[in-house]
Amino acid sequence: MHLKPYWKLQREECPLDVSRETLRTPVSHQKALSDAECAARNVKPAVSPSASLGKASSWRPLEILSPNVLCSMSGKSPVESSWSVKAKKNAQPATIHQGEGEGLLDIWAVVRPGNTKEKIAFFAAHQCGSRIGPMKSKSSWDIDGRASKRRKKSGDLRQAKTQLERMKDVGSSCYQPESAACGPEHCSVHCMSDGEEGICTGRPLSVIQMVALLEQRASALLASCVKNCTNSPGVVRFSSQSRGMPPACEPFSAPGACEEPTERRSPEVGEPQSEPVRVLDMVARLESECLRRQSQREPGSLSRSNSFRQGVGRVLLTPDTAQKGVPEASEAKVTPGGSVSAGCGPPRSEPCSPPEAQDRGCPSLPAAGSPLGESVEVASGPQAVRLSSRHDVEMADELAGLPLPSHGCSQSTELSTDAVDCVTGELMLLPSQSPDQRRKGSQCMSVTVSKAEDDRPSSLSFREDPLPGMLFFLPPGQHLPDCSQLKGSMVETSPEASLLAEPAEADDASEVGGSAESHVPAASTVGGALQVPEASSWRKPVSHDFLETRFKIQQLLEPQQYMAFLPHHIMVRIFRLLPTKSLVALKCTCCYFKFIIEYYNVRPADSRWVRDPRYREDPCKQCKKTYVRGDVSLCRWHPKPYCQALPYGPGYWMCCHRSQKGVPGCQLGLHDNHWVPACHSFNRALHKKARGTDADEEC
Amino acid sequence: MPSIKLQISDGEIFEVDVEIAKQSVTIMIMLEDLGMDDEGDDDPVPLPNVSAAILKKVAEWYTHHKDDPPPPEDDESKEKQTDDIPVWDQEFLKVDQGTPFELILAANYLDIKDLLNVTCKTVVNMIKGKTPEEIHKTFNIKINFTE
Repeated sequence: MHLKPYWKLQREECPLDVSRETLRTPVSHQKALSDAECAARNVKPAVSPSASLGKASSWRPLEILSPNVLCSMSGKSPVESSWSVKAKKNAQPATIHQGEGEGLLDIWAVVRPGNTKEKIAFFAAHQCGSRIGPMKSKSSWDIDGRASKRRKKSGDLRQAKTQLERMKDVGSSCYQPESAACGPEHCSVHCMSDGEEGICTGRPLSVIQMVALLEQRASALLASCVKNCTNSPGVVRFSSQSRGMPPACEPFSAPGACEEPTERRSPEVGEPQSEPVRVLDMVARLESECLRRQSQREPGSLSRSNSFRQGVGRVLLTPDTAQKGVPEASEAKVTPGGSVSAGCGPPRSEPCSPPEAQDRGCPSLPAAGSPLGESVEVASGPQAVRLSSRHDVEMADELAGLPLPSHGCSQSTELSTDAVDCVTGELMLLPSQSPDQRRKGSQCMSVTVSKAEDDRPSSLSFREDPLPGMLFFLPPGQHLPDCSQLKGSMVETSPEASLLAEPAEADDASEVGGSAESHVPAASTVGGALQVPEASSWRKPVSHDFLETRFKIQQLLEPQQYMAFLPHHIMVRIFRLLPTKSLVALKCTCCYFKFIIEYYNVRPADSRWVRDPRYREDPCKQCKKTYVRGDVSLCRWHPKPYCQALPYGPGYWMCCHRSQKGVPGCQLGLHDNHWVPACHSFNRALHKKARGTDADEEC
Repeated sequence: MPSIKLQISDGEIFEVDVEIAKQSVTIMIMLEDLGMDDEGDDDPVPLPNVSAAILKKVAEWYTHHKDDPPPPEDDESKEKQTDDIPVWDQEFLKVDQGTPFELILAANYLDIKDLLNVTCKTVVNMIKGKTPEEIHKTFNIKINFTE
């Protein structure tokens, strides 16, 4: 319903405007403000609800901000700067979003806390040159320019529209000469989103602009400091933040306001772009350094420029090459067996490579080139052994302009590229290698291929080999490895174990180790590590057999568990022959026996527990204990005889009353554990005779 | 005297008298089932669960007890006693700890009750009067009570 935006006035803001006006010397500006205030007052009831007033009363930024404050944020006026600081503290940063299609409005937007979408106080800022005084108006609008839900009065919309148009005109007029007449004391919305300085126009700034400018200045200061120290990405970030709209402003800023900053930002894109570029450069440098260090430390680790394979391949080359330089390395030859030996000869013979390198003032060129050349030669072999290392790569990089040997050494002009190609080709070779080859290559420090490994696995493992990756990392002032060293290394890489066993080669390897003494422990450990699994594999069968034999002997020597291996029915048969005590002891031996006794209800031979259900169900008169399955307790009250007080009377089962000393229970009278009572003397004879039968019946 | 061939676990073939062999219910039933009664078949009777040494012992024991009367039926009502082992059997069973158990297994497989009773009583006598710890040591039984 209402135009967007339209202005509102706040009574509480008037004194603030007055205070602001005091800062502004131009009377015309003050007049304009006063006019705006009056209009705003008229418009106010139609637009601003009471809540907004209440909030406005607590709204502090208006007291502080002034259109000139931002302009003076460059530090010209301490008072203004103080005010700017206050504004920064209190005012919420906000960007001005203009409606679509609307031109740039040199207006300030202050977001009221708690009511951001509804009411935004605008402070009209005048152009610095034609400043007629600050104008302040207030309107309610939302981000999309839609009508606020709280607007209740629309009667004064027209007035608000007119005022808005007036402000637009002022803003548009102010915008154009911005670039011409702007000075550091004048700030604008656009300047807020600009680069470090953020001050380029003379238009008065809103609170948001002021805040943004403050942030920009702070970021600029930090950026300058950071630039001086380091080109940290934070600078970029900081500048980007200062450049763009503050994120807090987004919720309550119109989208149109962003257009102005973008437009103003275009001429200054170079600056922010330069920062990312610098950052990228820095990042690239850092990465390269990290990769270098990483490769130096861990040649086998994965990295961009140094894959595991490359690292392994570099280990292939013995330290001899690092010490003795190119000529020796070039003497190595590619063996047909698949292993590769550096062919130092051809490169050396080629006149172009060393002499040209020397001519060009690069004595180290041969050393740098031969490995590369060798690498090229090596590439032709089935098992490419990379003779170059990072050092070579570095040399290639450093000597990019220098000629490097290649197959076609006559092409000296292309050596630099060839060197790179060699390196790249070397690098390309790596994936082609099979894991076995790589593994073999990795073991070339001690053993090249499987054969060598089998035959002399330990011969080379304990040599003083440089650390992986540092094979060709020569200390400063040291020449590149000679061909002899490389030859020795290549000999090592030969599949024939005899070559590896030769002490001369071992000496060469030892000599090579001197070139990278610091890397010897690592290499030895690497070789040792390689040998460890081999030794363990050898030990495995031996130890396994030994263990088996020993186990069998132990089994034979140990008493076998015959009882445990008997079938259950046999065990029950045995257990039933046991007396109570023995059965109890057996029951306490292990769980298996206990299970069998309980499961099969094994009763001791002397328990006299009868199968008569009356006997079993009737509890003992003494301990009141009933019979349970597998009960072999030594309770002297069990077994319980059946006692019949009278021949014709009821009978009951009794336990023996005697102590456990001796036999649990007795066979006399009540102590007789027979279930047949023997208390009756006249039945004693019969009882004795019937013991056998009774016992039979009992069971 | 007719004999019968018995092939034990290791493949060795033993030739024993049929009468002795028939004391084993298992062999007797096997002979009856295979139709090898008194016909003197040369086919050995397989006894995979019996070793040569045990078979010899069994044969020896049965040779000594071939004239004994058949054992009575098991009466559970009777008090079972273990001190009525004959002396010869006691001497016969004075062997290592494993032999009585192997004889038990062989007697159980061959279904020779007398031999089984004797051997079981022998084992019972080995257990009688022992504490749980002594039983552990004697029979190499591991205590696995967690409580």
